[in-house]
Amino acid sequence: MFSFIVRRLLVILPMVLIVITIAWALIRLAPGDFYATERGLPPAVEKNIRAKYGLDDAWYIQYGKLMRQLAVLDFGFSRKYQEQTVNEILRRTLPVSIWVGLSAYLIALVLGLTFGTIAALRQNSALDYSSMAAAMLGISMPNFVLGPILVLVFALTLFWLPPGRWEWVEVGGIYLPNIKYLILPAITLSAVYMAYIARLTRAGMLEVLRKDYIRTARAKGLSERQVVFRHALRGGILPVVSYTGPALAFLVAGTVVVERVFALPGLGNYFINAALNRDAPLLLGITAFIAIVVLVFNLLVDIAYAYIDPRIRY
Amino acid sequence: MNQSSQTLLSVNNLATHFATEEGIIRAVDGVSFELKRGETLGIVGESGSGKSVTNLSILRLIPEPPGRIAGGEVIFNGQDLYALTNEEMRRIRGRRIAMIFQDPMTSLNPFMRISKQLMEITRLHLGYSKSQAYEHAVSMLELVGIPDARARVDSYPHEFSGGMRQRVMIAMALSCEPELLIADEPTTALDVTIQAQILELIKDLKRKTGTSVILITHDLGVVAGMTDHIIVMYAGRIFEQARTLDLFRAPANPYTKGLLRSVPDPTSEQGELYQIPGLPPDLANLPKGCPFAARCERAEEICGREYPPFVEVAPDHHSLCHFAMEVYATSKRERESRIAAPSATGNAILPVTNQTSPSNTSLANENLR
Repeated sequence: MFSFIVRRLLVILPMVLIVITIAWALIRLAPGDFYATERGLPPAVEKNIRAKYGLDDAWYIQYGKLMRQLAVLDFGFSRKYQEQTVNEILRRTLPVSIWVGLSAYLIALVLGLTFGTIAALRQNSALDYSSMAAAMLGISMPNFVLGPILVLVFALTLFWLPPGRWEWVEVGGIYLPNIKYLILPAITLSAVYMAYIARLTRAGMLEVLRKDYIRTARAKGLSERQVVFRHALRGGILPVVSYTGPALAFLVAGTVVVERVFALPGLGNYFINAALNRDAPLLLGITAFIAIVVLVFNLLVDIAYAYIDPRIRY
Repeated sequence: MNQSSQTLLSVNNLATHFATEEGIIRAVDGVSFELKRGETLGIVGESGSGKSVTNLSILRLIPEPPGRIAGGEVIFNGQDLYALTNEEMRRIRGRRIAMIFQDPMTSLNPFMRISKQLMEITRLHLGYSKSQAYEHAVSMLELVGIPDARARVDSYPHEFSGGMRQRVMIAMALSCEPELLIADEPTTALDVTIQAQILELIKDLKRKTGTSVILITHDLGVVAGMTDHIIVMYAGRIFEQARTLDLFRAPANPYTKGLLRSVPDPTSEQGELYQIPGLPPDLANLPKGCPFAARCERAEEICGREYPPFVEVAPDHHSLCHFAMEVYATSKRERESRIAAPSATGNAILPVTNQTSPSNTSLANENLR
């Protein structure tokens, strides 16, 4: 197991390198750059700036500079936000994204597992059909549709929750999000994953409940509760566990949209702006960060998988 | 029914149905039998004959829906199992009636250590503490002949071979010293040498504990050496019911005779193995009359028209056939002529297999072609 983890960690390095290289190439290949605005700078000024940032250097010099930055995980100053380094922006925006992302993740896991299990245990009941119909709706509805609908209902009609933005509250020296601002984004983001997890759980549980060893457990005289929780759940949630890895990658993409819809000062929002502004350092910094997070999380999922299923050995 | 103190289990007119898209399948249709304490009952029949469903019905383990126990009663130790609450039934499962299943590769939970799976049952039924249950698990594994039991008790099922896993299943089933052990094809999924070991083990443990056993199998060779009584099932019904020796000596049902002839006999000069022609009937659309008629060598016009009677051909020997008496008489005659002119083959278990009348053989060959 230990050597597996080491091996996987070593694989992460070239993976990040590839991701960054592709992102860098795409930025270069796309027409225009940060200074190609409509109004245009005086040629002399632009020439000075290009020289300052090394934009006219040969591609391999620029690429080498990027590799040096990647090695120390410091991408320097943002071009758009002149007085801030990429790392400062990450530090400031990341907590917002993490709060939204993790809340959504937990909501999706808890409710998805619950509804999926109930649906499987009450197969073909009204409860099963209604929760699966809701799941189908959740999967089909993109979050940029669901978000505004929730805003319309809960913020602009019922006035229960704010329609957007973010607020930190200080509790004993620790900054926590104002939960009122967290609820709608988290629900919007979680809907799709909740639906997926519910369906995966239902399918997984239905399959496991038909297994011979469940019959054995019943023949032992265990109660239905013990059969489900002790014997069935472990095997039933394996598909969910394998899904949690890719889910995180989708979740990151989802944050980008949801933060836009709710105007949150999170990583995703800056990511979009960076792309629109051709803010290469910021864009590459965020890309590198997300790549590392997704890869590390996939590793964690594999470890969890081996822990749940003893037949798996790496 | 007569409820002698000796009777452990009595099944009366049991019927289990499954609702499917093609209609209602009568997987078990009016099965009755009795089992005395300390006895072993063999239930034989082809796949889909209702052997397993009968026994799952006894334990009320039929998945409902689509299954449904449509009628009959199961009296265990004077107690009507179908009158019990789920809670009361659970206290009987595993504690007083235990079950071993066909495929040991899939019948153990792959995510749980052997020790935990064994401890679960004694903690549940006998109220053992963790350490008591653990010690008991180790001693049960020793009892079923797992070498180095203490070191291996914490393994996962996938670390054991098939035969070992079946031993674990047996250890689990016998953990609470049940009064009745139902073994549902315990050796079918195992290779031949292991089969013999497992059967020997069940026999041995039965002698030690005095447990009654119901042994389900499609292998007549397996039941021959182990059982006191045999039930032959076909299409959810009992086709023949007799003491083991009587059944092998003089089968009174063409289906039983067919089964006996289809047991491989290595000493046979004939190259081809006999098989009963055709396939078991579709239980959703059973024909009028005898369900075996279409495959039966003895069938006559009446068989397709009228349902056969359950005839008592001799004391404690019943057969579901229009010609039960005649088939019985033929079997007896065949046996007598065999004893008069002993054959060269020494197949002690299955004396009937070698001797077939010429007409039967030619008919069988015709069907095989």
